[in-house]
Amino acid sequence: MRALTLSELVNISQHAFVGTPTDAFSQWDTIGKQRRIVTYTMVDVHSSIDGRPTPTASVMLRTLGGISGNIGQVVPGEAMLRTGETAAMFVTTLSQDLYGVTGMSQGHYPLTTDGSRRLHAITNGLEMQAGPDAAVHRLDGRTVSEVESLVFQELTRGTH
Amino acid sequence: MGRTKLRGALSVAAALSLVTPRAFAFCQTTTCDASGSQVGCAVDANGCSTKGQPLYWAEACLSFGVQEGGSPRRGITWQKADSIITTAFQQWVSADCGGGVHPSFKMWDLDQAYGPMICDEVQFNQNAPNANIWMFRDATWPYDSANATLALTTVTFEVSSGRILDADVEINSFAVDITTNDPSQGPVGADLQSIVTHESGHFLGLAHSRVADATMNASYSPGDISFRTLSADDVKGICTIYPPDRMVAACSQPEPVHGFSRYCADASGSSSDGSTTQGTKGCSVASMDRSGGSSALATLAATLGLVVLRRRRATR
Repeated sequence: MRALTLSELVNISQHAFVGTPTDAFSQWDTIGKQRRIVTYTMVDVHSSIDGRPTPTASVMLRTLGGISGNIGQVVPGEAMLRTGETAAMFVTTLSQDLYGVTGMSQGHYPLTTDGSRRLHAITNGLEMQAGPDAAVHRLDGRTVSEVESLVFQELTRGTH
Repeated sequence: MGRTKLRGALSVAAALSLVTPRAFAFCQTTTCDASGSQVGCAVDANGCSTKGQPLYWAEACLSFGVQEGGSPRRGITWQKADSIITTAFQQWVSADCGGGVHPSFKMWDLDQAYGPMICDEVQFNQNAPNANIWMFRDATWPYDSANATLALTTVTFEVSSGRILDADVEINSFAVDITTNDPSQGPVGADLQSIVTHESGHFLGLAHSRVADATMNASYSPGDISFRTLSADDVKGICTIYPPDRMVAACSQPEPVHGFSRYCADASGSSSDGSTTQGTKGCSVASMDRSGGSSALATLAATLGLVVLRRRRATR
């Protein structure tokens, strides 16, 4: 994957929030002309990171890959939304009431479970230009409140 | 023992041999990597999935094809793409597992025998012929995150065994400045040879590695061509998944699941050329593709294709 800068990640996304996947199912679906297995994950949204709250307290995210019957599909680089694992998520609207994780794994940061609520970047993709401006580098290890400040800076920068 | 039974027994033996612990940083993709909603999955310190069935091709004969269009947007012809992808697979096939032996699989370029792939879709057909297709996306990127994705490999597998059934690769030529030249020939952008060598590792069942110089490392910088050649970690990975002494039927002819077609199948399970597997068993390459003619002709064509391929490699 090409590494997104924090500015790109924030401005491409429609929402950024902390949430916990509660349920998921996979099925064959058609995206464009592609017939593939996708996973739909219901996420309970706990708090907004970017001040752009989601329209509902729970949102549905679609990711590529999954298991349907005895057939499975893996798409390296895609976000892995683990049920029960709270994470900071940057999402884009795919259709009404359906979202995707922005930049695949680059928009998904599980929180540490030691009480500090720090973001943990999972660089589960082929990245380009993963320099210091890359979102995965700027967000990795930050607390949620620190990330809120960074995201706010990016959003206000975009309005000037 | 019939061929099917033998293949089943060998598959079980291969699967068992793949779950032994290892000390390297490379990761083998497992069924747990398909989605995060599965119960009982875990990762180790290297980020490798430690649970689930490891993914692998059970056959010794693997095949691929390249979609006929190439990438006009990036000035990449089908011939150029086919050559680059062939070279990438050759890196993995010829990996030195020690003592001059190599991983226990061979790659067949079906384009050389039957012509370029017509189908430009990611497909795994449960009731129709298949092909492992590399394709460029020039007009649009059909998923979100167009600016973040260089290429996307979709590996389809059997959950109960981890056996890989199909693999298709989409290259994002729509949004990414992909180049094919050497640094001595001009600026290198997103180097196609590097991207393809990385993606072919996924095609073969490898996940990302945290070893900095590994081709399967997740970080790639534009202009870098080091991914074109394998690191020691990559070699360990491919030799572990496909050990040279693996018990597997000899390579004679590639046979995608339900046979081969270079045409897409429609929703009913028929290929665009009208072929279908209904009522057929043990479909060969030739029986599925109108360009193949008879089985004998197809076998001859495949043999000629292999010869052509070898000659091309020999002249590089």
